Amino acid sequence: MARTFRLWEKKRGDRRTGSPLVGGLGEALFFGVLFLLGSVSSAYLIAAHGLGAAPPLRQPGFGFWLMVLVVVSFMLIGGSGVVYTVLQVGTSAERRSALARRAAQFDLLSDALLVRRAYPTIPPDANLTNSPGVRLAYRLPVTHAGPWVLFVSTAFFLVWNSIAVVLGMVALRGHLAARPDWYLSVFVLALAAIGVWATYFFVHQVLRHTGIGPTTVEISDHPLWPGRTYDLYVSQTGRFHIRSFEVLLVCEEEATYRQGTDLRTERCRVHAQELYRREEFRIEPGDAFEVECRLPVPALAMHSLQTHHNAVHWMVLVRNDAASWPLIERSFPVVVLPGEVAEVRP
Amino acid sequence: MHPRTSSSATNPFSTSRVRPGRLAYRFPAGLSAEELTARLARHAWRGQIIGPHGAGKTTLLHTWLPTLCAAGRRVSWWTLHAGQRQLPRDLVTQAAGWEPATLVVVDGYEQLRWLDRWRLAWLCRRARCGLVITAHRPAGWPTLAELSTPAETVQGLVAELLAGVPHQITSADVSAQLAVHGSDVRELFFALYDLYEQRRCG
Amino acid sequence: MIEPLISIRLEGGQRQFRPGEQLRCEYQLDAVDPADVQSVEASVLWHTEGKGDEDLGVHFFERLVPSDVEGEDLCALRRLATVLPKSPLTYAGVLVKVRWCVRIRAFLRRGKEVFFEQSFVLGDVPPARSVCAPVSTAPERTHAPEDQF
Repeated sequence: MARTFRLWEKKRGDRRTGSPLVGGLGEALFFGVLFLLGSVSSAYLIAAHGLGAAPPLRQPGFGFWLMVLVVVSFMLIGGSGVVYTVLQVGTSAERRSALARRAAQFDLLSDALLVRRAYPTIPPDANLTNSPGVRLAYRLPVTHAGPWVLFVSTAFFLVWNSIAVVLGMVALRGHLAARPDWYLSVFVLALAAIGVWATYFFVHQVLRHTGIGPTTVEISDHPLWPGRTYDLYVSQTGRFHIRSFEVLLVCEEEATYRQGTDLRTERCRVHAQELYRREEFRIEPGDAFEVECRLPVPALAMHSLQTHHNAVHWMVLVRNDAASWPLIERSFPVVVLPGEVAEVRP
Repeated sequence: MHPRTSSSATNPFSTSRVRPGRLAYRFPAGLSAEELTARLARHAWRGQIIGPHGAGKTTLLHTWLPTLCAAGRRVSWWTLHAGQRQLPRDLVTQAAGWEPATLVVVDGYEQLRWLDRWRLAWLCRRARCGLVITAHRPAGWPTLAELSTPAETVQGLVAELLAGVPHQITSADVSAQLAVHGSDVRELFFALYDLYEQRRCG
Repeated sequence: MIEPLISIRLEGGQRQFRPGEQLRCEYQLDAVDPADVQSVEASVLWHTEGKGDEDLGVHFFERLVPSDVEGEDLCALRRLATVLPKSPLTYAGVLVKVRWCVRIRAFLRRGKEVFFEQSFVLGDVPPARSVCAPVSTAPERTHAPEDQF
């Protein structure tokens, strides 16, 4: 029993004894309970205040607002903790340590500033080259709205269901006391129906972040020059059967139009080059699917462009079609410089 | 003013060609910039222009502007963007300098919350100046014009845009897009932009 | 009344330039009394076209008034020269197009103004077109979980 469940563990250098999965679950449980405590308490405060049956401490005044402050801080700390823990699943301590070590040795800004001054309208690449890779020179950042969707769905799931549970208990108490409030009961049923959907969406998001683990893309050099070829390393963790796994080099145009109250942004893909493709295989928990491939930039490629209303974006796109999952695309922006300049650069 | 240029390789439905101010508003029979000015004067220089999204409200304002200036109005023009619920701070600051000859033009009035609509009316009453607003639905001011865009007008606008460029868009294409987008000319121009690009690329 | 004429001639009739190359051109005003020309602006600029709002960047700008030139004649043949930048390159995209031009604007009496543009190409980027299916290149080395370690 002592081997299976330990109250505390040892830290040995960068390593820790015990399962990281159990540790992660513990963290998520702790923050989840904290969030739930904050949500239930706030729901109770609101419900009690709304029903006009609040004890003196919970009536508006110094004590009431202090309690609101405390329960809201519980919700914020708990919610952020859950999201952070879920996002850390699949990222090893060794990797985090290696990144920190290599980042300390790295000259972050000189190249980026040089590019910005020399090439008008080309976006700076400082944010793309400030994270060193483990295999190759740079680890590219991902652009997707995942954490925000997860955060919002977690907050909505917990707050909504807490309110539904508190009001459900009030309605149930009325029924047990033979003084049913049918209006409240119908209202609670409507709340519960939305709560079921919120639960489904929350579970879906959590599975999406934990089941389909992080995708890592590293590149041998940056920014990119047309006509040159680069090394690319892609790593995918998770636990699923993959129907198809693709790595693409993509170029998209983006135009924003604003007239009066009308604001619209349109995107159009003008280049999609397959760098790697594999079909029908499995990724097991604890293993990472790793790919090393070449990234040839077309010789006559348009360079990256960023003006006030228009842009040309280049990116490495990882497209993951896994069984029982929706198609997941993760994009990793890169900056391509003008071709003719590349020829005169030493 | 349109530039005289040696280059004509431009999509005729580019924003630069179709934005309000580039294309003149085509008044329907019985309506003109002078008639609108007369209507506005009859209503003590207060009025509203109503029309659905993309019907040409902003274009009408641009076309009407020179006539208003010629009528002795000093136009103070404000465009409200999506989600802009409050009066712009500059508008409130400049309101101190408004006079009876000032004509405040607010494009996108429906964005304002009721408190700021009331505040705008109060600022105009205090300065005894005029006010013209555009909105999708009546907002309580005298209606000067309710805009719609007949199919013939759209065909005429497209013909004007296609003048001097290879005719890759036909009137049948315009009719097909009208069936999809109705009187929303802005959406129709965007759709024709895409169609032109598709045909340009073969 | 005849509209004033502006002519712009790129040196050697050259219409395509490499980034960093020098652009030279001549311009001249005709069909206008020199006494009516208050000032002339010469600029080399890029601008965007397409579905989005227009963006513009001025690379070279020169404003001349009669007292700046010999004989106070702004209609006479004048030259400009500038080293072109490394970006943005001329681009004929689907939603976004980047165009370069030399623009001469003349300000006349009574608030009248007239301008003319001569476009040119910077770089050699081919026109873009919308794509649906990706262009395929050969797959490379793979380390699937089963072949690791």
